[in-house]
Amino acid sequence: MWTYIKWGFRLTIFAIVAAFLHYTLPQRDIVRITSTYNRVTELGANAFFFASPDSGTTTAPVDKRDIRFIDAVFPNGEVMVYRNEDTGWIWPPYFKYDSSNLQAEASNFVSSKDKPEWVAVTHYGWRMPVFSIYPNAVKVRAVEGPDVQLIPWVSIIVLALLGLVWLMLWRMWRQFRERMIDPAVDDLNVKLDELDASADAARDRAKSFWSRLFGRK
Amino acid sequence: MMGGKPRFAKRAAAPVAEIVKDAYVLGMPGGLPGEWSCVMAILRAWVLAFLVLTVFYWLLRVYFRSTRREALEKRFEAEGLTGDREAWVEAQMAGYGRSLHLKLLWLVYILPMAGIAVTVYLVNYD
Repeated sequence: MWTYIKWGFRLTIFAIVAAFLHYTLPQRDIVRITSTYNRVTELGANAFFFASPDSGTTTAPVDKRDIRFIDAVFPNGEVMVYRNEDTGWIWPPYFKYDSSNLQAEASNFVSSKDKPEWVAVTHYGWRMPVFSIYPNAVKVRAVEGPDVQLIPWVSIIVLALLGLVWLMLWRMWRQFRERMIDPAVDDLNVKLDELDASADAARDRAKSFWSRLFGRK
Repeated sequence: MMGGKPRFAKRAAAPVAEIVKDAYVLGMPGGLPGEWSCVMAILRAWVLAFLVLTVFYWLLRVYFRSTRREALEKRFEAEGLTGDREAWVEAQMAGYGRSLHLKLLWLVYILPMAGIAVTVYLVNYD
């Protein structure tokens, strides 16, 4: 029972971290851009999945923004809609402030079915129609064709660094336990043993006192 | 940060001093004109980054000093030195602070900041 709870807890934590990283790390889609536009969008509970209000995309007091969008088609015919917003300066740490330029580049790549121009759209985030959330496009690059293989260097480097930080924190904790906590516990144990011994001695003394008074000779 | 309260509704009418005060006190740039809001956001990010990096600096400093102390204690035993072990270790640790400070300065502050600069360049200018 306890094992199940423990593993359930660990798996939940792992799933949350994995989902968070999957949302935040950049991914590249090979797509054909079909149109670019902006549309006034009201944000409600899903505002969390859009840029923070102070990142420059909006200055309106209520969260109703003019957001730029990029429509695209995958080689297999499925569609994708990206939003194109500045990211602000804290999270996610893309420090993107060239949405206007990106929109212009994307518009330049708009192509038709007969003469497709394939591009790699770097983005983070998820497309979830239920919540009306869109991945944020960060970069558009022309690629040679729909079958190009791209190596996600940025994700590899970031994950390696995160692993390093995790390892370092773990070693720090080990060192702290070895040098600070264990000696303190040992000290405490020694103290307790001493106390125990002195209590035993006191009891012995008391015993002998009483036995001297009342014990049988 | 993400809510949509009409916090800056008084914007047009508010006197400049009050707008500036709002911006500084709240750490929110809504009261300032466009270019300034960007500057405020960058400043806020810097302060946050500085705080986080300082925590890491401090943690790493404690860790490396601790491992070095342990290594020195082991060396004392291995070489069979005599005398006060604590005093010997303290003497050996004396010069360590500065060199560690320099290495950590690079590791903790300069490399991440350079990483941010590279990110800004790659995302916006490359």
